[in-house]
Amino acid sequence: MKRDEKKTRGTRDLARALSEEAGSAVPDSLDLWPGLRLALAQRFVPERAAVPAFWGEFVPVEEEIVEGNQAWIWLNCDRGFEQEVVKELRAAFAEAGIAGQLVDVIAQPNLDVSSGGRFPRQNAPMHAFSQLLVKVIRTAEAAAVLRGGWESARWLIARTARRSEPEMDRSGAYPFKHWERVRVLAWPLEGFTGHVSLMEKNRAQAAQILVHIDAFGPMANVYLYPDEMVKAPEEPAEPEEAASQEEPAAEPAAEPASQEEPASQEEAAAQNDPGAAWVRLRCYSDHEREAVDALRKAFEAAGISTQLLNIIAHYGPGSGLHLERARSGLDDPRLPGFHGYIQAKVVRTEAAAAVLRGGKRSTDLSYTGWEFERLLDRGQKLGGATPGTVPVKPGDVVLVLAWPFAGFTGQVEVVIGKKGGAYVRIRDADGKSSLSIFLDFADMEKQAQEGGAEGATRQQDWYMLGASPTGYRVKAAEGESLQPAWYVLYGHHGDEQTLRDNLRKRLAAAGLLDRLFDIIVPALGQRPIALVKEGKAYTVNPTLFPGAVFVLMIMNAEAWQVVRGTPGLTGYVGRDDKPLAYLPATNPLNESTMGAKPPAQKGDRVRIISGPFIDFRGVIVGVDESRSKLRVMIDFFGRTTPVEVGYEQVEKE
Amino acid sequence: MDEREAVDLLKQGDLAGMEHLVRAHQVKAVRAAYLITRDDALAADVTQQAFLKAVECIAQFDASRPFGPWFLRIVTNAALKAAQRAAREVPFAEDRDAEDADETVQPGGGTRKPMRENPREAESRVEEGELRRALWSAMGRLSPEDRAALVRRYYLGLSEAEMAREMRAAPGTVKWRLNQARQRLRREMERGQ
Repeated sequence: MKRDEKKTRGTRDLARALSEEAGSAVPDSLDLWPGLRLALAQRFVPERAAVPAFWGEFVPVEEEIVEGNQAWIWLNCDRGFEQEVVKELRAAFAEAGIAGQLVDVIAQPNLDVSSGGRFPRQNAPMHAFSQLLVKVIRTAEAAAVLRGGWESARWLIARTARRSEPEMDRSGAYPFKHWERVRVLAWPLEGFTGHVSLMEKNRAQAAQILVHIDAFGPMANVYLYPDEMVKAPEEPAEPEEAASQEEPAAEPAAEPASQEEPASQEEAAAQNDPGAAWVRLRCYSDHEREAVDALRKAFEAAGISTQLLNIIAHYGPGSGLHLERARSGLDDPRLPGFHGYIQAKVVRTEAAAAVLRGGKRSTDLSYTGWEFERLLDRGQKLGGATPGTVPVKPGDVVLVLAWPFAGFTGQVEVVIGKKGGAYVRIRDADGKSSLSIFLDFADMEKQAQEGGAEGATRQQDWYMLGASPTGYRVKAAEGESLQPAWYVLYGHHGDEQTLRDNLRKRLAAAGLLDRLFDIIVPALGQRPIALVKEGKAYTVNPTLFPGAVFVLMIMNAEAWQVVRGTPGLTGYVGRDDKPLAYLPATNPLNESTMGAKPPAQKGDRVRIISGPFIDFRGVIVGVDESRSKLRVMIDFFGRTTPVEVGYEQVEKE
Repeated sequence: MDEREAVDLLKQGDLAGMEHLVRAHQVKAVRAAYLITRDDALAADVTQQAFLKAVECIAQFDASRPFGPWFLRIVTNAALKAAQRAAREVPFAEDRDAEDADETVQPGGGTRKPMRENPREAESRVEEGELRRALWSAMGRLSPEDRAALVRRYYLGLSEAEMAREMRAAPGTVKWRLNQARQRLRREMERGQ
């Protein structure tokens, strides 16, 4: 009994103690409701009407993106110019007498200096875009103002916005083909036609498709949801093109009735400024500002500043190339291979052409300017040439038909069938300087090749780094090969960067920088490693090959003398006082493979004359001209087996 | 609006009744969670999450029964989990607390009472408050599972049968578990003295 009493008292004490303790820690006045209300609102919002199946049937866009009569649209503008552009946008709406239709503008400055190879430099690259989210009343006038940004290049319609982006269905077949013609249903572009230019299947949230709107020149690229456009039949091919390709017009001339209105809109837009053209110019990456200034000055000096209608610095190469190279320590953007791009709208006059042709980037880095690269008027044809209709091959001499190089002759360097054109090297009359420009196939006319034409470039006179010719030319000594090669130099471990900088300085001082293509100190990882030693924090960049510096350059005796004397150089790979040259992998685009003809046709019987399948006989079942390979069915241990062999490995029977 | 109406609304997807339920149960819930987690900020957090979970799972709730016990079950389960997680995450905090001071301000603004009592003071402990502190400090040395069992039984006042239902265990198991917890608590208190 006594024990029970004690027990009861113990538990009572326990209960009381717990309750007192809890009461002292958690006051009665506690109120979770305000915070909880917010959490509830965030988590349990009423369900929106179910989003339609992503690749499903067309759903009227108005219902999706519009609230009342308003729509949100994303615009791009140059980074660092957000405030200005917002003002200009407001001014444009005011000028159109519809100031009230621009309901809201939210600027999102692009602060990301790491993506896409941007350098956090003081003269920040202009080619990174910031975004503006604007809310506008859906009227024809507002649409026109927004589209006007493509002409002024101050704001560019980037993509349509929706309240919620549909999840992307990765399993479904893609609804559009590359460069398929589409008609846009979404405001502010409804009725316009365009071409599917890029399909980003990897975008995490929603798949918008980049569409080039035909009527507005090279800037008019907009991301649209698949249900914001429908396929539109391709217009019949132009007569002269059809003739040149010896194909009957594929489509009947009759267009659906719905095409009439957009066609007239396109025409109206095209007639806006018939005498102007967008051109793309190369410049040193991250020196877009300097290039823009240089271009302006050149037009002013020629007294035709009014003919330079607009300039926009565009994305750089857009690849991770910059970043990779910056990480590997090669941070001087003025070395070959670093291109920034600016785009300019100029009046097509001979005076403007002369200015554009005169642009140069100096190889001694004393001056940064621009180089003409291509005319963008034919942006609509970026879809590429029909396979098998590539009219030229590297080495061909062509007459340029297009402004601003009309009448010049040049030599084809690299054919890019996918882009429907080729890089052509144009040479000055004295042959001292040259320039590589991109021409559409339609803008060149193949010339009869006179034996070693005077103005023509020899294949080995240029070297292609990355995907495009650098525009640099090295003077060859007699009998010298101009093939660049890799050389391995050694310095002190941990001081590779110093050696690299010293080497570049010395070559620059000796005027040999044009022979230098690349210096690489391969890093072990992608980031510096932070360490703490004796209480001090410091970072190290471990290298993959301690002490080694890899140099891609065109070496000769003179250059080697300069390289050998570089401070910090302790050794090199080589013998007899000469460095060993490691040749880069064969350029797959060079003439020998590009122009080669298959030795036999599909269905022919051939004998294999070299390689592991020597003396086997078989039938050709496929020819891959782009890779110069044949697919041959051979009888192998009693079974017919397909093997892939090079052109040179077979002999026709 | 009474509790029944609020629950009915909630079952229809209407959050209008939620405020009533929150205001009616929040203090008790936070206190129970505090006794298990021993951290008032964490307890408030746990309770808030429990309310969200209650909204999600309201369909499983039998509207003919009172809301409180069902909800407090969610709270104690969540608090137990949080306490287990906290026990794994801050293994060194207890020693430091004991050495430093009576109370340590927690990052969340709450206070953490010392886990081990200063032995010199133990002898002079006669008052009720002292007992409370001894008990509290001894509770701190129990495992979260033991604490949860004691809180369910002696703070929330559940019967052993109710606890068995709640824990989905046999009544005997619950009895044994409670007994173990009590014994350990007693040992800890004796050690404290």
